[in-house]
Amino acid sequence: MKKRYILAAALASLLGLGTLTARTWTSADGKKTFKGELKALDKAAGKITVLLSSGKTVSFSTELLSDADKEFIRENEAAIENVGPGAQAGGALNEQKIGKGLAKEGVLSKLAGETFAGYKLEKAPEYYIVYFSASW
Amino acid sequence: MKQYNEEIATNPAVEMIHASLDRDKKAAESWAAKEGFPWPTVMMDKIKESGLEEYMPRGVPNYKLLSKDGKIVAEGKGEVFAKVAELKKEET
Repeated sequence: MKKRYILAAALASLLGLGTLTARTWTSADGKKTFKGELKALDKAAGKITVLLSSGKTVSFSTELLSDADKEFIRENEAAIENVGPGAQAGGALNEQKIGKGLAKEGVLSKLAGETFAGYKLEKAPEYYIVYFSASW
Repeated sequence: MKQYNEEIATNPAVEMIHASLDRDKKAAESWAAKEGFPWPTVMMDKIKESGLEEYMPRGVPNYKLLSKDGKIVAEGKGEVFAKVAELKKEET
């Protein structure tokens, strides 16, 4: 996890990220900073997902962040959850039999790096392909 | 994966959901990371809550195409993707 964070910070630094909506995040030890757009908060796992301008999405524990960042997350918790991609499709999903179940908090996850992070659907489709499988 | 990226990810009318029957989250995560799964996943412990429990197959892998109101439109990889292609043609 720490390696991934350092990689994200290094990438961000190299690419000179920055948009009007991007926040500069600081590591817990105050030595590293990087800019990125907050996409989602997974309260249960204690992780946030950030979109770097390279298009890469990284997900990491909020414990890796500075106190100021953690305070920012706490103060803006409700708003942060609403900037997640699911916020755009939420209403329509709740009117569907299938979408309603998938829109429940904590039901969906998606690969972010090498681990799963909480995920909300970005669209409310007419059809769902459900792929049942297992690693074994 | 290619089929997902070209036909599903860009199609607003269809989404693909991976219902993982792995009870071991780490095993599911390692597999997904190794293969680079781009789709959303419902883990085994969330399948009941998701409402997908009633569509559980007898064996895996298994593909089902469900309408938003829960009707099974097609089953089996070939039939499912053929139906998705058919739906896409109808739209254009």
